[in-house]
Amino acid sequence: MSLGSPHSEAMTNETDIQEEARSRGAQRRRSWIRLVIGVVGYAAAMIAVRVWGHLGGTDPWRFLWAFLPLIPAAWLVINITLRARQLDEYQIKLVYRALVVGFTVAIFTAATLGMLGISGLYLPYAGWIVVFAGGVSWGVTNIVTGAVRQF
Amino acid sequence: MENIIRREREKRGWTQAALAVRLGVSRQTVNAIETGKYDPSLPLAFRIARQFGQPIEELFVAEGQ
Repeated sequence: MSLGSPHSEAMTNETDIQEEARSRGAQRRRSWIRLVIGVVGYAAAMIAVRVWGHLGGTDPWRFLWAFLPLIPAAWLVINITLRARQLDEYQIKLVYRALVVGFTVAIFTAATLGMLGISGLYLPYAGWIVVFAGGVSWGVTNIVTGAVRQF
Repeated sequence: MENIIRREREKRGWTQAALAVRLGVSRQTVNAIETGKYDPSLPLAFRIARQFGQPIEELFVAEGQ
């Protein structure tokens, strides 16, 4: 069991503390910038797919276009994972709560849409409803618990 | 769980941010512990105790005790 971080052991004066605080602030800002780049990249990829991908057409390349947003998505996943590794135990607890709510809502939305499909009610963009329900519930829970301030 | 972290911190003239840096956690985490919204893990409680030079049982008291 570790009784303290290597940083806290050596943290004996105000200069060290201020330096560490500045370093953490800079680290947090860099994470935010990388996340914003990922979100903007994802939005741009989605727009590009809609404009040039012709997903409703017959060109076989349309399947490759459909995968284009996965590139910025991979960037996002990597950077979110890196940021998550920097979170402390309380921050993880808050973030976890929102993930549980978002995941549960998405799963039950998907199951409900599946049941509707079986009963004959076909919804053409059902996948997007799942994304919306999961994303919104995840985001709202982040705001309610204050987890959004931890990132 | 109740604690006297705020009192001990203020006694030493430390800000929440300064204590957070010393503990290797965020300022929000220190605030959550002080306000009783969050009970720290045992390793973090040991780190807090070490910073204040006091045993854990003097800093943290179970409610009703």
